[in-house]
Amino acid sequence: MANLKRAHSRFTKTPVLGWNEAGSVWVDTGLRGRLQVYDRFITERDFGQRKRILTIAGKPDLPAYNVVKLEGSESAYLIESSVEDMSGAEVYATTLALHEAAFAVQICRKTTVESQSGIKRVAGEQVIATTWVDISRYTAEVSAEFKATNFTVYTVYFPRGTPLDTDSYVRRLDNGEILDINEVFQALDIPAARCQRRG
Amino acid sequence: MANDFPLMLKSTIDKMVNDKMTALLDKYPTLQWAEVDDMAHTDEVFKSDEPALLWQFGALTPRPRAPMYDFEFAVGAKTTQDPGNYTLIALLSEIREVFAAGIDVQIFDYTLEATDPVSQVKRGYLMVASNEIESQKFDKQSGIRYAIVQGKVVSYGS
Repeated sequence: MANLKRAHSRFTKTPVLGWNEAGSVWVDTGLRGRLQVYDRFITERDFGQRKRILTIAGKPDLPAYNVVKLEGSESAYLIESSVEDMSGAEVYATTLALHEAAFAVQICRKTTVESQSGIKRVAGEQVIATTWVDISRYTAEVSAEFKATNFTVYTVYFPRGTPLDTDSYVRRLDNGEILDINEVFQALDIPAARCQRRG
Repeated sequence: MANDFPLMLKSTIDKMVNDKMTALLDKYPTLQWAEVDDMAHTDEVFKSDEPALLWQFGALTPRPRAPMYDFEFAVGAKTTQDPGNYTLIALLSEIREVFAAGIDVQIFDYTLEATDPVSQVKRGYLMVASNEIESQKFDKQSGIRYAIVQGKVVSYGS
């Protein structure tokens, strides 16, 4: 078994960096992987240009890293799922599905204060997380009130463990657009949301 | 009338409904509330199948002239899956009791934050003259019934 892992590790040479959110820095995870090509659909709309397969020897400590990148590359990836390759009772390799996350965003929600009357008023904004996501246009939705008005609806894929609900919204850091979250669902191991662009 | 008197009046009504809802939580643990002109919150409450207290600030008219006014607002309840509308009528009776004909209420500024000291400055005086139940309404699966509360209010000025 050890031979299988050792043999596998001869082909996994690419250093994997993990995003340390607390320090806002990329850190060496100590993991080494091998990148594969993936050419299937990854969402209802997208081909596999934004999805890669990374094989790693052994069984890495994945929960510590929800966003990774490969040393020398500018692309950040979400770890969308992991599959163990086993022989006997031992994991000799792990196959990760990586989903490219090209957009830096803040995930925010409004904060409220309660008045003596019991009515809650918006008092400010709380940034829940600053991270990377994938944004994929889903459709245009016709306004129920104004027939000539269409809203752009996106599907946004978030890192594992991101706390999301329909009271949160996403602020893109590249252009300042705000996407209101209308629905939250699970896509393999990562949370995803249907979002409507504000304005 | 001070410019903020309608807000003081409304915050007093808000507080009375909120106090009643809090008092009813033992009996109705999932009870919600919605000021029906707060569109976003009302939408959320109406999508739920839990019971709710409702209210809506209506009219405030100088008569015969300021600082005396006629007022009108609605209080009510919403329920779903409520055979015979018994819960609906029970909740309506509870909230009507807060604004029963003949009661009088001092108006204060309850817009302050919950952690602030309570204002001791009286801003006006409200007296309920009538409280009448209206016919039932519906929103999809929800039954809704309001009572219209009318009376006189006096502003003490700023």
